[in-house]
Amino acid sequence: MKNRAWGRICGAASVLFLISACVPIPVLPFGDRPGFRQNIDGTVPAFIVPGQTTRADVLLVLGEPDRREADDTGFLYVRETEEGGLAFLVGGGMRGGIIGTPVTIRLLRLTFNGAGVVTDAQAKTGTVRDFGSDLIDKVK
Amino acid sequence: MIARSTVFEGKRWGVGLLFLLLAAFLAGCASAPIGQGGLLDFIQDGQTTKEDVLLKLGEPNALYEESRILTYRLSQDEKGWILLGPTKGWGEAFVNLVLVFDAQGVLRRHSQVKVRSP
Repeated sequence: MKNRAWGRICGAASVLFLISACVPIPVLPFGDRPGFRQNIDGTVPAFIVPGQTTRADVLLVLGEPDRREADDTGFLYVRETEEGGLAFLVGGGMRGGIIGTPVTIRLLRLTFNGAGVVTDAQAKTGTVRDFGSDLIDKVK
Repeated sequence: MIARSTVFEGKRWGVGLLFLLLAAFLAGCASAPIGQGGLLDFIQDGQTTKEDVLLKLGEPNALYEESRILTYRLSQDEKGWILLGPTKGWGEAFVNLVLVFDAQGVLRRHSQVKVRSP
């Protein structure tokens, strides 16, 4: 009888331990993340015409890119928006907090030739879960 | 008597020093950049030189095309523009000042790009 009670306690403790590590919780759609730009929308802006638009034209309309190639042959503009849905509350032995928040990533990738003229423009949008790694790589 | 006076003076100095340290500490906490209304008024295409810009705004946040294009990050309060240094992400900045100069270093085009909402 005593052994059974201990077994139940251990079982319950094990279940609690397991779910304490990762509890699904609802998160609100917080919108654009602080510190990220909002002036791209996941499409190639109409003013960008490969073969015509210059690097200066792009900078004057969109501002500094969020990432740039060392020789400025490539610009990457990034917008991150937190969507609502389910995320995970992490406890246990891991670093506590909410992880796995659904985030929509909008990217605008531009490449320039040696004369500083746009040669290619690509826009991409994808929704990924934020587990702390580089989200841009997941959408690229 | 002389000894008691010296102790008293020492205590007064101690209290004074404590207040000074407290004031310095609080001043450090309270300081925040204050907007400048006319900060960007000098910028005019065809007239302003790169030297003018560097003297008035200081080191830019980024340079492009062999320093032909300079960019600055700004925020704004009720008093005017606040010039910000490099930040991780856009931080407090929500406007990007972009200045395009010609080969002679004269401003040809510029814009204040609203990158995000304040």
